[in-house]
Amino acid sequence: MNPKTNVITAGPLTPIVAVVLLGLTAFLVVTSLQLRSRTGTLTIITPATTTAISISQIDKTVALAGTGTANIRLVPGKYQITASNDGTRVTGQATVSSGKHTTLKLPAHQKSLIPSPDNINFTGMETVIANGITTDQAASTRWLFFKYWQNAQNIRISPSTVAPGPRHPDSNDPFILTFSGLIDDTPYNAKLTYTDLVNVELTLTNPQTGVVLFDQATTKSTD
Amino acid sequence: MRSTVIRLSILAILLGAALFVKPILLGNAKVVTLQSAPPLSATISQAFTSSGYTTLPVMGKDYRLQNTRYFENGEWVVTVIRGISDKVSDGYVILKQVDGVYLVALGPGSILPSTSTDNLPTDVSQYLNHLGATYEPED
Repeated sequence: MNPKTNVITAGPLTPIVAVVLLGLTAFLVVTSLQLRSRTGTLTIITPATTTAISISQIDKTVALAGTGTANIRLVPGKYQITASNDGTRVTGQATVSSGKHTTLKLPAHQKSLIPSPDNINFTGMETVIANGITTDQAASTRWLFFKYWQNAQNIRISPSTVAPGPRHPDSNDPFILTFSGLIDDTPYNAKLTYTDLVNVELTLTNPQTGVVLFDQATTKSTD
Repeated sequence: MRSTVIRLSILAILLGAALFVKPILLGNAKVVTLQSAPPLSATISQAFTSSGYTTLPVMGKDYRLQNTRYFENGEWVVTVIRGISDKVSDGYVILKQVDGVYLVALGPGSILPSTSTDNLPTDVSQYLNHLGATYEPED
């Protein structure tokens, strides 16, 4: 055996290296425990593995947190999270607390911040369609409701109240449908008047007073 | 020979401890620290979030804001983005305040279809028209 090969194994440097490593480990333990105690963890879950996730705070910079799912450690505070995938952007907020774990699950889609009929949850429209209006007219009706109350969250049409208005079958009079329901928690009576397959006139009245609240028609081309 | 093996094993254990103690104690979570930045910059930079970026554009380095105007008691903001680096092109962005935080409602985009701005408050859509930020899409 060549005695030179033993030189690299355990020379007098070994105790020094051991002490350095022990010191480094102790330092890392102390700093990690300190960091752990003054931060919290946030797990962000998105529906797709390709979703890019970023995080920011008011008047702070932004940082990419990961893709698909992110597990990050942050100082306590309120954070804004953005997840983006295929041009679709979803935002969320999370509050991080010291020593605590927070999970934020982001949806695949989100309501637009710009007022839109798509942001309103309509229920009962299928009964109105079953009573004679077209899907185009249903869309026009949603639009007119939106024009009346842009910030509505829920518009309910009570199915049992949907009824066709009086009309002689041989006349040129417009068709009429009446119904009632709730815009959020506010009751309304509605009358839909139409002569073609696209446009409608929506008249909303206060059920208690009979006062007309809204009366407007769409004027789309019927070509 | 045996004592050498023991010594090297101890060193290996200590080295392993030094390497893995931090991720273990921190729960394998990446530590993220955010620095101070000008108002709106984070929200706008965040709007550029996409799988294509490894770092997001930074205001002052990749783009600057111009003609920032607040509407409806600060509920809406319209601002013009001017690209400084190749990372960002000129464009427009509309922000809305929700629960005290500005979120991007529309954009960033180099030009916006009027159909997407129709339902904005009148003064906001008028300002966008004044900036030449909108176009009438063909039917």
